Amino acid sequence: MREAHRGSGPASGGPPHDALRALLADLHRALRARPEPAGTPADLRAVARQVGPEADLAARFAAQAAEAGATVHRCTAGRLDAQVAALLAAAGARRVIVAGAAGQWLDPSRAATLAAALRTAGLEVRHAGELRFGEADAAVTGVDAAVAETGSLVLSTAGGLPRGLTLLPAVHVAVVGCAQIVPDLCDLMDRLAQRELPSCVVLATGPSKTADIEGVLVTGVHGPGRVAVVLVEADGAD
Amino acid sequence: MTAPRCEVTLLVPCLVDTFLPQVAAATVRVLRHFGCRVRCPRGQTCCGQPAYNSGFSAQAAWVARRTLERLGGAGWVVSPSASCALMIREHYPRLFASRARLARRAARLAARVVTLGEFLRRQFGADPADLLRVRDPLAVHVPCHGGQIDGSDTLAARLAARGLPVCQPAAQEACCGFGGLFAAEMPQISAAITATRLAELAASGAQRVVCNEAGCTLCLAGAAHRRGLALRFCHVAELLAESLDGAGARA
Amino acid sequence: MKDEATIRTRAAEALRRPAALEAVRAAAARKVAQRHAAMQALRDPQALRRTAAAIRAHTLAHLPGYLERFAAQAAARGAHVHVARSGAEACRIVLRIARAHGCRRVVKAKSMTSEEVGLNAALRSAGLEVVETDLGEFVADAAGEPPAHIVTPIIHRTRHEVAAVLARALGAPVPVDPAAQTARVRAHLRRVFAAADMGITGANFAVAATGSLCLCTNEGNGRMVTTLPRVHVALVGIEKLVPDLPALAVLLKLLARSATGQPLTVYTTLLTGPAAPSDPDGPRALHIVLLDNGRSRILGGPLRDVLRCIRCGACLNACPVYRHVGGHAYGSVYSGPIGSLLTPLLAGLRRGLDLPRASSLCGACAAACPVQIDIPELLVALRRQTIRRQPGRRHLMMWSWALLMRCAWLYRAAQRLLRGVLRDAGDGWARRGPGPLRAWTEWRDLPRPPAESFQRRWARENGDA
Repeated sequence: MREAHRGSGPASGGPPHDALRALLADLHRALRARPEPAGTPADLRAVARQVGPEADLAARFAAQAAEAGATVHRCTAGRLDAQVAALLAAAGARRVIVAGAAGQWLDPSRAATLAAALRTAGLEVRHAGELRFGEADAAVTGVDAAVAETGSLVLSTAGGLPRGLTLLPAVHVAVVGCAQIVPDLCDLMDRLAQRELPSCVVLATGPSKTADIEGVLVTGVHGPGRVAVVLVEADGAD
Repeated sequence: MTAPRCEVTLLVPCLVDTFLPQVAAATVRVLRHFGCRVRCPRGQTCCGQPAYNSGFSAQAAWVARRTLERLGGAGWVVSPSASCALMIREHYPRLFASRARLARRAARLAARVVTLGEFLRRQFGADPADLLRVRDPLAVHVPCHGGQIDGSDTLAARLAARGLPVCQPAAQEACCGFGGLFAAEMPQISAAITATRLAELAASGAQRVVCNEAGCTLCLAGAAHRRGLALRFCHVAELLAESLDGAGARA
Repeated sequence: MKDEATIRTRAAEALRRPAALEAVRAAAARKVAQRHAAMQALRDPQALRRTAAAIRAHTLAHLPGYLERFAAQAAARGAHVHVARSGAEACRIVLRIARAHGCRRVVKAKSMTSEEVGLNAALRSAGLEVVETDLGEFVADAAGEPPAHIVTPIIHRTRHEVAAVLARALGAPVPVDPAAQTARVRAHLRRVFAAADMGITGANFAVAATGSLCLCTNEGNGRMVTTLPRVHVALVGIEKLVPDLPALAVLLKLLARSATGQPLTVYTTLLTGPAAPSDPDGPRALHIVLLDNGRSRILGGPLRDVLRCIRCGACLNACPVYRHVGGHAYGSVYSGPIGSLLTPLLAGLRRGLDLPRASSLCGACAAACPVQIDIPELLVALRRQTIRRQPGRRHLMMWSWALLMRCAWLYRAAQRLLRGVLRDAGDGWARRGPGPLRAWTEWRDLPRPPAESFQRRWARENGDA
């Protein structure tokens, strides 16, 4: 595929091209015409923070996620396999994808163990790489983080997982280690700002929904209609 | 005969002067009850709001200059209309920003203008809610301009806390649809908004509505009368005057 | 004046369909309650609003620097950055991109900016197939009408009307149940997504420090559109810039709470560059089209604060005018209080001058705005700026009025005249007034002015002032 429209966009970071330069010049002129002092707002976090680290993060996260329409299930690591199997059975899911990533609580080795347990339970378990459009009933994944303030799951392409993994199947089971929960959106953004962003980061809060028709709430529009979060607490045996 | 506790100047809003003189008369009675001598400069006309809000600031400034001059002097200027008070406080300094002498006069006047509620609170520590004796079920319409400075926004709650019969519609701060020239320029839209507000007030079970803005009162009362609704609208000053007279105060 | 009749005529038209307006009012009331509850649940909502306002004001005051940084960062991550000074240029750029990549089938997530520039029409004229994927936009598009609200496009439609529109669009009967209707659209759009080769979105925010785009949706179509097609085009107004991720957090906390009462929309997606070579899916090319279309001119004018808008729709929900006439009465892409400012301003004051006058200046919008835009103040400023376009007779009327108010005896004579022309219908009220009073008495009675104005009575009772 040839490079699209040379000269109207930098191929990689470089000096601004003509159109951008002209726009910037006009903007400078506009601002000089009406100078209004507007300093940098200080200490955003002090004002914006809603949840501090001293809060019961698991409880807060669970409450918010439930409010957004997800179901939240707490269990110990030892009970994880049974919990996930039960959730998938309740959702009527037969063909599932199990995917973990480095840096998540559900890392590749735990994911492999879980996948094996689910196969034993009679489910058809595939890898993320085998995902075809709409072929899986459910996806069981880890998360990069969770946010207590909003009840959100942080999902990204960081682990090499497809964007469609947590989007296309109708059911999403997210396995979250309690230690992965950050208190506030401010904390999450601070963490994301510390290193290079993956190409896609999604904060997912509850199942896909709309109220466009007469204000009636309907779930499962384009994304998963059913989101189940399994919150794994540390237990002595783990 | 006791000496007056203070001297105040009465601002006479044009709509009150023309359509609702009883509001100004009641304001004077209340002020005199508290021992004030009331001065009413002659020949007051208008604060200039209708022209200003419409974008015709030259005409507004021309008219405002007269008001500046009529209300000159010292001491408090008590306005039965919070929107006129706001016009003077917030917009007079800007209207005359480019003319130093007038700007100074505007600033001085802006600092002296108060609503009746503000004046009673500041000067005498008095809350109208403590003084009202009303038997009819009451609702309070909170005007969009000035509802926060004349106490309308919290009046219903304060009255209810003192056991008065308050029926407040659910939508606390809904607009009456007046908007000054808006009612004349976009009459059908204005009328639709008035109809909704009126329906809310009628459904509240109230028989009297406290409304401290003449524009809102004319707008709502006019629509109520057209529909044959039994709602009566009055300024808090009128209720105060009734209550204070009833308590045997001097007129 | 032709322009002046526009919102009045459209409003009159809308007011003839009370059922649709009832739906608008009910939905708006619901949203107001949800917004109120969500704001009350915040630790210090007013401080948060002040901070958000400060971030927006600061960003606008330093916009060139932030834009430059954004462009550089985005380019460094492999995005192509384009600049469109006008709506027409934006359409040309997107068409060029489509041709360069050989794209013919476009799926779109909701983007007011794309409506603003008429992108769908431009693409369709060039033979591209364009499908709106937001449920409300899909229905509005199928019905051939523009969205009626910034956030909820078919706020005015009943389920029966939706069933009829969908039946025509999908070629099969559709149930009236919203859940079933949604399922039909989902199934249909899955096939469309699978076949699409270009996804077009707007962006809620553009983060300068990282070169990222932030998309906020509830349905997941924003994700579908930026996952399946091989090319992603994002049309972004230049005012959407935010400095960095911590600032983004502040604005995100207010956006969904102000729009629908949720802490966040279901999906808040942060996109930085196209898919990496090692990513299994996602668009291989990302094109960001930065749109001016009048924003730079607004930046240099007295109504710059209008550019702070984060498109939450809270002002629409709070506005008595919007709630009583609906979005279509405004006759433009942006409706409600913010639309009354944006429409004439973006059009260089050549259109939409009737809109700023359709307001009672009640201030409900300003109280609801998460970034503290003083909309009534700006409406009056815009009225000031455009009085030259007002008809001559209105200028004459205002000067006549001012003359009356300057001259005490003229004022008193006018009061007597008023009493004279307002005939008492028997109970102290007049039902019909002449001339300028007719607009009032068409809808309301007017009390007949008493024989003595207050000042006359005072003069009589008190002699001197």
